[in-house]
Amino acid sequence: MTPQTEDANVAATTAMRRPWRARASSTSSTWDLLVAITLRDLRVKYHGTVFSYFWWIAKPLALGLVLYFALGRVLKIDVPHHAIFLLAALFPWFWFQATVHAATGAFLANEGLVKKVYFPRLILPLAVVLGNTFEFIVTLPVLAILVFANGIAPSWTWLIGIPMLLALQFALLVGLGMLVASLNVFFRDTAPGLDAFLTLLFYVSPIIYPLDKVPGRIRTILLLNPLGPLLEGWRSLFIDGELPGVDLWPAVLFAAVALVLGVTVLRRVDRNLADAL
Amino acid sequence: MHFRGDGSGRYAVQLDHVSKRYLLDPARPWRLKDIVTKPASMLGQLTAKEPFWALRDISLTIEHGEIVGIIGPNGSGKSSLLRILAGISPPSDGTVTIDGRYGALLDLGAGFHPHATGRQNAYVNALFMGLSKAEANEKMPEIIEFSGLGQFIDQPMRTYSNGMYLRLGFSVAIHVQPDILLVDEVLAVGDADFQERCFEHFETLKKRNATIIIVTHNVDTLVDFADRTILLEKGEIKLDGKPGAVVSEYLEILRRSSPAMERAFQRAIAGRVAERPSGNGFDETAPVSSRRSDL
Repeated sequence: MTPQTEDANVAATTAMRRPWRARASSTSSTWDLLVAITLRDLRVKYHGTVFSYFWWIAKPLALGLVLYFALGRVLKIDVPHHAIFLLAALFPWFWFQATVHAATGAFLANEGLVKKVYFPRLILPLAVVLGNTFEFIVTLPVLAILVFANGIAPSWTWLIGIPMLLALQFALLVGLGMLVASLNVFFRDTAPGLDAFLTLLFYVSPIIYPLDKVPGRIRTILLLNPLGPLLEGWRSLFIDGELPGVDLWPAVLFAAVALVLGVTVLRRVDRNLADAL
Repeated sequence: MHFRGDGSGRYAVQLDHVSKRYLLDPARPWRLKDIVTKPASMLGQLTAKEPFWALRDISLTIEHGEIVGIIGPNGSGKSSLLRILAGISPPSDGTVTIDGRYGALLDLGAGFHPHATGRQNAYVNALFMGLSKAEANEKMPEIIEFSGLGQFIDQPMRTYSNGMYLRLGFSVAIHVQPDILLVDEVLAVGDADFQERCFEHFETLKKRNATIIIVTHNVDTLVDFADRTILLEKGEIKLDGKPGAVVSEYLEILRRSSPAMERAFQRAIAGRVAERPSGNGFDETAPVSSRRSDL
């Protein structure tokens, strides 16, 4: 490509970027679109279901029950507060897993919109993350009640710890969501590959076992997964009332990298998305 | 300056040497086994994609308040041009300048979700078509009223008939009043009443000095309605002028392009000759031009 056409492309880039900027400022705002899409998707997801709220908590509860009996009663693993030990990790795990899974298809599921209207594409993966985050937040009281029912007194540290972990995991999910949604348009292998990866991630994360039972060397490696420190953080917050501390740094690092990567990739593909779908 | 938004520029739309290139995938996608069987050709396939130029070096200006039709045979680049104008697809080369709030009517009810209700979909669609939240809320009663859907507005859209779907999409579309309206073939769908209302709406927009750009195969629409028509062929502007002359040229291209068109043309002429002398008052033969638009 000659330098001349390169210039023309740069000019074209600004030309095409501006319409929605001007439009966003004069008419519908990006935020309004985001809220509208998020609400629509939430309504659609549970329309016609009678027990919608119950379904949000059913998944972690069901798996928690199975694991509690299989590991606690059959294999007789000795962990204090075993039920809460499992649930405090399973609730945030399902938030993570469901969001990444749904974000992968965010652009494909809205193909009709992407190909026919121009709007900041960021809205679509972001709506997925927002919707799933809402589901997680409204299930937190159930978790808190279960913790209390297990004889653990609620701690004032929850008031600080929950928003902290919530914000960190949210940031991680926003970054990953933008990344996987964009990648999946150009490499359709992303979706099946990611599902396999999530299964793997479930077992290399400290969900069914406590991290301190893992031998030292492997433990360091396990901590290098984005979820490990987060799940440990949720768990020690709910069981011991312990505020998350410096142990979280790998998760912070991952969230930062995911955000930068996600924004970079999405900015690159934003304009070409309609052509690629 | 590429975008003005306030409608103060001399032209509503300005294209300067715009080209669009699509990269086609190789005829046979590579597979994992190619790494073993033919590594060299696999590498080549990964990098080399076939370029296809949908538009070549298009330069044109459209003034505020102009109504412009775009016609051309299939594959001439009409839709690519409209997608570029709508900001959905970036030009590979050249610059696009658009002046004014624009709305694209590329599809009625773009992104309607089958499991959401008509009301929810209309609201989301109105936002995406460019209305603000306040405007959308204000116009919702009108939109619902105009669609004539009544109690069905709160039913999921999967239960709607095709006509109901289009009526709602159209109702949203006309309540978004843009300075520049891009229309893609939507006139071809819907019954006579629907099309009539489309034109009424265009007339209102026209009175407000809106710019309308229509892509269509229906040549009668253009002759009746457009100030100017652009004929595209193989991604280039073949002719740009008064609708009548441009449409004739377009029909001529169609006629030359395929034996089937030529036969249909002859049949149409023969039909007119055969039926006319009977003079029974029932002239069921449509004008040649609209006949071929149906083909």
